[in-house]
Amino acid sequence: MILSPQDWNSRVVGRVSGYLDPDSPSHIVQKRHEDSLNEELAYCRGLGLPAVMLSLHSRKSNNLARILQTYFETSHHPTLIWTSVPMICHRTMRVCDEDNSNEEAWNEPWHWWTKFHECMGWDKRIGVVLEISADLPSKDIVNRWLGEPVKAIILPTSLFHNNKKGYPVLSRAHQQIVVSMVERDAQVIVSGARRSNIVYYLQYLYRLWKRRPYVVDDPMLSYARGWEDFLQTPLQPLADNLDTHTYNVFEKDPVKYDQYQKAIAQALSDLQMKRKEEMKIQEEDSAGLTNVKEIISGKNGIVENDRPFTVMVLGAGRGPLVRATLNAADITNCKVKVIAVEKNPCAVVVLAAQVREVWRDRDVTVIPGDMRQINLSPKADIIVSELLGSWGDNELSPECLDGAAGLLRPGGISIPREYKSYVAPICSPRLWAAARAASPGNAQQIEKNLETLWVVYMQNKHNIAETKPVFTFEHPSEGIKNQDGQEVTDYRGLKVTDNRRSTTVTWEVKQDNVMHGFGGYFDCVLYGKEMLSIVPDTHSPGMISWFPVFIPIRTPLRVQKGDTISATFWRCVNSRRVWYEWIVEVDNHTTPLHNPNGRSSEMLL
Amino acid sequence: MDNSNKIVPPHLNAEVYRTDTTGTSTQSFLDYIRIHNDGTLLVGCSELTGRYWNGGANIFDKAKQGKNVGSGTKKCIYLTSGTADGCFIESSNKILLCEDSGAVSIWNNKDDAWKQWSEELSVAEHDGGVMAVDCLSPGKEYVTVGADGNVKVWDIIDLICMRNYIAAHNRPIYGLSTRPSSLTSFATGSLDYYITLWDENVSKPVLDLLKNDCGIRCLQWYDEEHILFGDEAGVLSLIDVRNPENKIKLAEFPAAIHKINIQPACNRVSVCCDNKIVSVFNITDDLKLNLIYNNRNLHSNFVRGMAWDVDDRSVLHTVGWDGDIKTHNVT
Repeated sequence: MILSPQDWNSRVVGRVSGYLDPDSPSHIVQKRHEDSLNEELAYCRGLGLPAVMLSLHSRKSNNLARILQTYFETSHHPTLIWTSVPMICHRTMRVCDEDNSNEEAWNEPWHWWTKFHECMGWDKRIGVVLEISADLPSKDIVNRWLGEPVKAIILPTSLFHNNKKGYPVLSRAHQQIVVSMVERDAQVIVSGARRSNIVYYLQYLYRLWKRRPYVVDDPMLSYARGWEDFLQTPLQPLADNLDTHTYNVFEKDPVKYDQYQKAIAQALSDLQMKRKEEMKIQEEDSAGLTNVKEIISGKNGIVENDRPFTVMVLGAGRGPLVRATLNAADITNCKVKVIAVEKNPCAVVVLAAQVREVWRDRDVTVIPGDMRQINLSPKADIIVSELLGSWGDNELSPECLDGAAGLLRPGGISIPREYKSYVAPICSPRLWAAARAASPGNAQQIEKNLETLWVVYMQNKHNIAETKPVFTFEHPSEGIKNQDGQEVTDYRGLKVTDNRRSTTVTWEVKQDNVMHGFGGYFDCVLYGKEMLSIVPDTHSPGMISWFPVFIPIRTPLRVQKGDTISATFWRCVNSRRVWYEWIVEVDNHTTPLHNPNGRSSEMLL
Repeated sequence: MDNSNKIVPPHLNAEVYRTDTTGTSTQSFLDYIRIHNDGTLLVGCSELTGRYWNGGANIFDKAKQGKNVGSGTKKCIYLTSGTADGCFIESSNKILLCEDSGAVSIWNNKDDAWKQWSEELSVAEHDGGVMAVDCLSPGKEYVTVGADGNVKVWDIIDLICMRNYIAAHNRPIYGLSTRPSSLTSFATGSLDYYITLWDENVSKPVLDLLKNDCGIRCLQWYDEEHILFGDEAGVLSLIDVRNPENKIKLAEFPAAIHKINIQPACNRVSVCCDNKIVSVFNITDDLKLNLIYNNRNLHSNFVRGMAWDVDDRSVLHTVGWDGDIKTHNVT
């Protein structure tokens, strides 16, 4: 009665008695402790506690998991379970001291935790509380913990040492761990003997807490604030028309459009060079010919030289790329004729207004319609498009651009010129549980959710292996050839392309882990050396337009050091839609084929 | 009870409870009893329910026993946390207390007119409650074990931790016993199922004697080679340190065994469990147990501590959570 109900509901974490051991091999003890545990859990429920903390001491936790499942089933009150584990198992350490590899000792508690989490069905109500040890493990092991849903860390007071002024402080390595955990919203518990005034610990930790990467310094961080590990379904700008707010969000990216502008400028100046060279050749060729012809060709040359370059912006939206093209023309000092093709009627209204009002003295034409169906002349020297999704081709850029290939002059330039999708196998119980629970419904829906790509700013995850490329697309693309070796064309005379793909990617596992799916990224060559990338190693600094995708697998796979993960991805196409299928093999285990025939997720053409 | 002249509106009941601190005098849950050779008793207690979770200790002459030692009386020493164990340091004027805050403190009784106990030294180095203390070398070296899984050997003259076995066990250590006639060797028993043998001169455990099938609650050396221990399942067992794998089950109790207390001179062991029963067994020469005393109703709550009388060998003193000290005549 001393605390108010609000305090009990939001501020107090219950702690289950430390002596309880419901997984004891002794049946008597198991039963007795099960009863006591249930009693304590019922009391926590009675108090309405938001979370209950308990600790794991071995890989044996089946009975504990069973009791907690029952508790969840019978409790209407949403309780989180905080599972406390040490960072290192000293007993294992003692055993493996002889062969000098104490990696096992660092792995052991992680196995306790992951085994328990698996027993609980990777439930997102289960979090881990990590007791930081005096010695710290290798970076790989810390990173693996960072992929787990760490709700809190325990800092024993013995980790602190007193600085010159007598205040308790942490070593640099420990500071780093605390900061990286706190960054992921872990709370901090200071425990142990009272070696100094509690206020000092609090002040010190507050100073550390403030040292988290300052959000304003990194546009991605400030933009993504609040979206961490929040799953979104990928946009389908082809099938659906975007609303003006979405445009507004994506136009805000300073880096992306700057890259585009540079790429267009580069393309324009290259075209200028090329034209000059051609003129020179023409002049040389015509030097020995008659005057008349010379005049004619000269005239033609001048006309040709003066002719503005035709730049088509395909999917112009509300016009940022039109603006970039005009800027690029100003920079390179050449004339352009901009044709903005846009299928979304709402955006066309905005484009048309800008043409009338802002760009009235420039040569800008707005063509409403689907780029795959219109036919325009003259043909474009450059086509510019921004049709890429978080996983590169997943917003059907290849299909759109191939359909629009007829708009491009032979030898014309496509910006972007090439893009690749990438994947890395990741461990993230949190994302996996979130994907499964994204739409609470029947089992079928759950299955669907785990066969869908999710756009998410991933934070609580750990890469099991490095990022590797999957699909590559180039524009203008190569047509397919028939048995006779001739290019196949369709009724409009366009090259028929094949945008089906399949790729097998393999990784070697360097550490025991659990794989929950893939992080998906892309990079893209706009033109020349101008790139866009959301691949973690090469991420364009400051670019915020794309979050990565999370590609789940239906059942998490336990992988062991030395195993080989082999994943095959298919990009399947038929006349109406495009979809991905994927399958993962780890040594002898294999997942079922994901999303066969696009049953759970697809992109409509 | 007298009627109160203060009328509390019933709907403000909770508010009154929140602000009224008058009714929170420490209720004593007696946890342990130690008897000095001169007949002085040390009784430690903790507040288990209520708001403060504090504790205390009482030191008094055996002769005064029964008078004003139960609940509600003034204690010699007040602590801000509970206490799970304590012992005399040589004289009956000096004691060591293990506190739940992780502190180990030494108190002495100035031999002046006031007979007041004062804290001489206190060091908080255990990261959990200090569960037990035992003596290696009287007046000099003592061992403590904690709920943090650490074992510490203290030089109690300056209260300096001489040997710190960090994470000696993975879970709280409940049992501690020094080997008879050894100044350096001792055994610990923990909820992590292990009984481990230590030597103060060695920085690592000498030997994991045994892995039980449930947590160890208490243990004591019977002689140089044998250890008696009680576990969570209520089984009292015996191991021979020369052949520790061979665990001999001696007796089974209906609740977890809390403490055992061996009276070496008479080959007797008293046992208390997580219940109200006090039992005493005779240990035969071939290491079997015969029940010679069993009391079920003297205490009205769990029995927690036991000590054999120093003068009369057939007298056993017990304390419990009912706040009473009881005397048993074992014949």
